[in-house]
Amino acid sequence: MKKELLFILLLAVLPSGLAAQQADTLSQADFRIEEVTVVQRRASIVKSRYSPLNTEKMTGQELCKAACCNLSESFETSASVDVAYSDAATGAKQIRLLGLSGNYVQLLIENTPGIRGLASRFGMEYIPGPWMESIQVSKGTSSVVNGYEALTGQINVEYLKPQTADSMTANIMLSKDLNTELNLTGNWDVDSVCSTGLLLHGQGAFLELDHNRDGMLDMPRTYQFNALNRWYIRTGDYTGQVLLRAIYDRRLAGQTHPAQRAVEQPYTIDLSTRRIEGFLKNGYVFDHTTGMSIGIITAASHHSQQNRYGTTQWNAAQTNAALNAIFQSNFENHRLDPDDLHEHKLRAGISFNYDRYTETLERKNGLTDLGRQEATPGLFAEYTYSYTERLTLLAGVREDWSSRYGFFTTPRMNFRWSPFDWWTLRGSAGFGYRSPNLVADNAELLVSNRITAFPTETVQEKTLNTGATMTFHIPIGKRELRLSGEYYYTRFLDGMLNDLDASPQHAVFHRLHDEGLQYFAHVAQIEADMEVLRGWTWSVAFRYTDTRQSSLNAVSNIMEVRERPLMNRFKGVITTSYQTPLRKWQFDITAQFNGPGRMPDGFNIPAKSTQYYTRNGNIYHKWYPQLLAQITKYFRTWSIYVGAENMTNYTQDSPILGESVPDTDYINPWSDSYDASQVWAPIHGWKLYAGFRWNLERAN
Amino acid sequence: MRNKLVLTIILLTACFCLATPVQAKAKREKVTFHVHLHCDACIQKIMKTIAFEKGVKDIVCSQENQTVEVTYNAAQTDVPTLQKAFAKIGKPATLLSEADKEEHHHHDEEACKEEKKQ
Repeated sequence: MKKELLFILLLAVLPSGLAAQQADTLSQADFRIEEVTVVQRRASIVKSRYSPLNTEKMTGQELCKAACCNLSESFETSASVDVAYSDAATGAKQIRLLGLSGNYVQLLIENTPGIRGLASRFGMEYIPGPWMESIQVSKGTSSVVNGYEALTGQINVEYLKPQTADSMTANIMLSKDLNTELNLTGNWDVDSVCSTGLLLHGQGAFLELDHNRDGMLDMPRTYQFNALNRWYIRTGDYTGQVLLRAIYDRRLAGQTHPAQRAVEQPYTIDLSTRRIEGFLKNGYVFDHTTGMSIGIITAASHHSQQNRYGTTQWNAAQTNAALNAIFQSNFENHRLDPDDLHEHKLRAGISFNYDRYTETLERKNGLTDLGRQEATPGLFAEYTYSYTERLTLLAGVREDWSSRYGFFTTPRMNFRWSPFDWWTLRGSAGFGYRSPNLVADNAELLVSNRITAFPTETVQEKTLNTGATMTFHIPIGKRELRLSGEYYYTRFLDGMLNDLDASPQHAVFHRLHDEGLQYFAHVAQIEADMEVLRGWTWSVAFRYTDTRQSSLNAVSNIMEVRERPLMNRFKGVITTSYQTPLRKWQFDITAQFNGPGRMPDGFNIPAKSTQYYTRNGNIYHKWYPQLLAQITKYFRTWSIYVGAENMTNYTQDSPILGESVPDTDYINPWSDSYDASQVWAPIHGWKLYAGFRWNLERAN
Repeated sequence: MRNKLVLTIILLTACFCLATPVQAKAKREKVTFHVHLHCDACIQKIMKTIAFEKGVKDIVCSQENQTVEVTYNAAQTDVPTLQKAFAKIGKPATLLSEADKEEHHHHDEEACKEEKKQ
């Protein structure tokens, strides 16, 4: 009862807003943010009205509608991007876009290679919420300028800019499980041409909790230290930026409490990561009349991790170096003729990417050496044609050569047509490529005893993605209702497909093209949002996903195309947000409805669970709701917020599968059937958090 | 679970009502200033500072008209005090007469300081 009262008392706070800043346009396609004229409430999600790409920009305001401790939690209010735990033990989160894993989304940090390779496992948790100025999510294939890896879309994160961000900010957050986070940022002008920024983050999870009493910690004890320093220089026509970052992350999970060690040997998980990365950007404008400029981006990173899951040891290191040089010209000479309404833009350049992996995996079935290296030089060109604001066509092509996979071509096309101010149509089609990292892409298999042979020889992943979006801006009184509908289809033309249906004790990898198998996803989404009254916005979205792949039907022993396991068939999101006229209070509530998904063949429904049903010989989990809310109170230079997540307290019954230890409810992680990767709902119940933000604005 | 949900909704509604300023015996007056509003960041700056000035009850910014309409409690503040507050944040506010209201329908095309730096 006490818990209930405390929960209700603390349930009163809603998110805050940060200023939306324009994105760094050093190497991005045309992106004009919808200008707000007579609106008090700054839009928290800005859907690009003029870009040919289907892009939505989440401003700081949207990022703070929920706990938003880091990038992975920034999508809790998004209908397009799903976030879910990929297993029940390590706290690793995965995103999904357009019905496919987040591994197929290109995650960029300010248009430089961001979270890829080994970092894709926990990479989003290395980007703290208060460090971010905005996030741009582009669905479908986008520009070829940033590479070939955006198979389903692209997410670009912009950090606080030293030249414009608040001078100092501090943020402390505490949750009911005593997870603590501290963020400190400082951004200063060194002189009239140079600015610098320092961003610091620390977090710790100090309690060991096992609410569902399965003998394993619900969430790992996590410790992370993260520091970033950046410099910005602008003199005349030259702009330069330097960024350096270092991360240390440690996670301890499994059976760490003596009372849980009901077996011979405790099963513990110890994940340790060290990462250092940086980039250097140089931009020079040759001619302001024609808009001729050049941008050269160089980036490098070294990522090293030692991961132990019981007796499985996965040690890996990745060194990456990348270069992207982009020449751009807007051919603006024509502007001398006021009757010429046609605009042309050309971007072309060269790129180079180098990855070197040292990687070993030691499991019950022996030691596998997955070390490899890959160098990929490439050329690209992209042409944009616009006719006033009515029509934009974007066509680009890349030719790359990979030292592992040979030559490959990436053509992409996007168009935007707006015959009337209130109606916009967008379409896109293009290819995407990616070099698979089988262990990092499927690391949840390591939190199970499924026998998995990770092949050392792989094929490059190749997809075709097409989509169309229709958007209506309907004026209603002084306000505007935005309605949109979209459809995307992504088909794998080649790649490594993991099959969990063949046997509950195995995970098998297939080569798609060689074996004539299929893997594709259809996604359709409709969305409506509007500021209905002053300060009060509503957003309603519904998405239908049909992701199918070939897998072995264990009963008939035939490869069949069926729904991919653990993909929600539908998702509904309703978000409402109210900000008082002087913005001293803000309230946000988000309700999610996550649809059913198929469980892999051989799944044993936990005893007494009512969360599953069978249909056509397949087992499905039922749909479930999620509710989160937050209230924020603003003062002149500081704000406090209180919020709750998973307010329906919905948790998955017995998320960790395996044999029980005799005479206990504990799962034996040494049993052959141990599997903590079949997760489809929250593992822990309702979560309460409170935080404090302080900021010192820049003096004029 | 259902009870918890009902209680939650009641509490949220209560908090919503509490957040609405109590209408005491305030003598509400309105004044419209002409202020240079280059871009959205200027509006945000005003909302973050002027909103917390004593006596301010409401602010409506119009980038199209380059005006800021302030509703205030005349017993707690006055026009000169408000103008001082605007000047303090580098956004001088001049009184807008009825005649001026017709004239000031222009956009300020000059890029915002933030936009220039981008």
